[in-house]
Amino acid sequence: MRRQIPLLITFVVGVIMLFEAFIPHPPFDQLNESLSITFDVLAAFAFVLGGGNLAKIHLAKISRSEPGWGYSAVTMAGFFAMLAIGLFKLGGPSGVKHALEAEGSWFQAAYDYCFLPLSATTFSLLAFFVASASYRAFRAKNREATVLLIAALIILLGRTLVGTALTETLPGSLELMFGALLAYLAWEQYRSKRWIPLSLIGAVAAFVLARTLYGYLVLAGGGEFYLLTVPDLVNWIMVVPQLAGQRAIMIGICLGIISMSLRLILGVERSYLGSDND
Amino acid sequence: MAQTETPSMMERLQTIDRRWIFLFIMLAVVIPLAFDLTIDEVATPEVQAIYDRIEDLPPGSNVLLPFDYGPESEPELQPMADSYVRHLCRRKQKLFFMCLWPTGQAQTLKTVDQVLKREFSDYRYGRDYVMLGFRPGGQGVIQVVVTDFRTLYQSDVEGTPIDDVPMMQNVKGLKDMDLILNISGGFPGLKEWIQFGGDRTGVPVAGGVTAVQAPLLYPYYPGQLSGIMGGLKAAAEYESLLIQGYSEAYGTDTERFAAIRRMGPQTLAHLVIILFLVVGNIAYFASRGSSRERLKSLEK
Repeated sequence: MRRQIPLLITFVVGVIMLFEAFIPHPPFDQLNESLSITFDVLAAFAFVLGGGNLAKIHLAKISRSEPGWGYSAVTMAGFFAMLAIGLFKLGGPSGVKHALEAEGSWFQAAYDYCFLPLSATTFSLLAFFVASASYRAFRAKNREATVLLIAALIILLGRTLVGTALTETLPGSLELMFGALLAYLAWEQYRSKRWIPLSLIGAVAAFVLARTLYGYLVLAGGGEFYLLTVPDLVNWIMVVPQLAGQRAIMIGICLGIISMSLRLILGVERSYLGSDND
Repeated sequence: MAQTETPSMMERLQTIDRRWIFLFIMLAVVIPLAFDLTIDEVATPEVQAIYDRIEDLPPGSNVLLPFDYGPESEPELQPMADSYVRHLCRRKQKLFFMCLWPTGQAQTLKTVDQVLKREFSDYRYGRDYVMLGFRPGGQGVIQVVVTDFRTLYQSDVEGTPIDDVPMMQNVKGLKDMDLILNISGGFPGLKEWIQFGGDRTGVPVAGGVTAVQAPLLYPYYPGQLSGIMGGLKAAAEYESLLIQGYSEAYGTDTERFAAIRRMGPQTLAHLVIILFLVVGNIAYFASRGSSRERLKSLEK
């Protein structure tokens, strides 16, 4: 019975939620709302559970004087201080009905002068670590890493006005770089004696370089002779290759969720019930 | 005794002490801030779409503003929140603030205090804007407010019964909103508002997220998402649109527009990272070439 009842509940609730998606009419929509409210109530209790668990772990660490117990003491001091300030609404207008953020409330002061700067400081350190990590990790060690590196450089440029400025002050610079890259790839094909890829890549490289040189020499850099701009390229990366990858991942995840949901509803997946020995 | 070879300049560059990188990043951030370097942005179509959507709303429309973020993403997202409120107030819309993050209420209050109350003194609480506050449950909250706000929100953040708030009289559920304008720093956020709010009710959804999150939301644009703003650059673009669109109010005043001011440090920091990437790769290829030559000479 200990296993059958939870399996039955899962089946019934799962089927109701499934039907509700296709039949948004009474009683299914009302049942969905009732179940959602139940979920929200449980979520509120999860805060109590989370707080209790946090206190249990850190208080045990302090009582055993384990290494780093001082950090636990600070955590607990902060936790209980905020809990007391929030529960009793200290500092604000008298009575417990006023908002936590009411003028003069200690809760808002603690948020503004402790939590906010501490949180922002910790997060801002990321900029330094990202810079250091990208310096070490972004190396063109193989073909895939080179593609990643080039995409990263373009996005980085595009995220600033330098990308636009580059096209305005040096029109055709992207084409030249792109042409040079293609020429290099064509040279690699020539060395490997792969004639078909060589002719294809070589033709594109020649076209891009010739068109850009024509723009410089004949049009003397005037007119919009260039095809690529950094912002356009960034936009293309975001809405074509990036989007295709994201969609593929999302579809994969959705198929996984559908399969796992069916396994749960039909009682095939039972790991959430715990082991038989429990 | 084996002779230890001193590493070449290129090899040393490869293993540069990370504190040098930290120093350069710090300078890249501090210098533009000290000299107040500002950069005007040109809006991308995704950002322009949000601006146009708000412009097209008739005055007095109901706009839900869920602020689902905390202080960690404030530098990127708070300028978006401020800009949305500025724009909506200029268009005389009714604002309904709520949040799925516990920290969201404090962030809402920041925008209300620093933008709404200071710049739009004619806006009255309860008549033109209301703060519903935080409720736990993530996407579960969205599922409930789709049909009725009152199920979860019996009172606003000030403890006033929801039925006593004048602007809530004609509002039952999410379907009574004309636009959902979310700002999100993670889960639950914009994605959940699209899936559980916009898709179920047909109310248009748009919003802003951190630069890291933005690529994950592009699959929803422009079908399920009317517009998307990713990171500080998009926030600066929106501010530029506001300055252009409401030049009589803002003129060339960039002082109050945080994203435009912050783009200076971000631009320079990005340039420093690009520089390091280029230098690192040159050093990598150069040292790889020299180690090959050394190997050949040893073989000989």
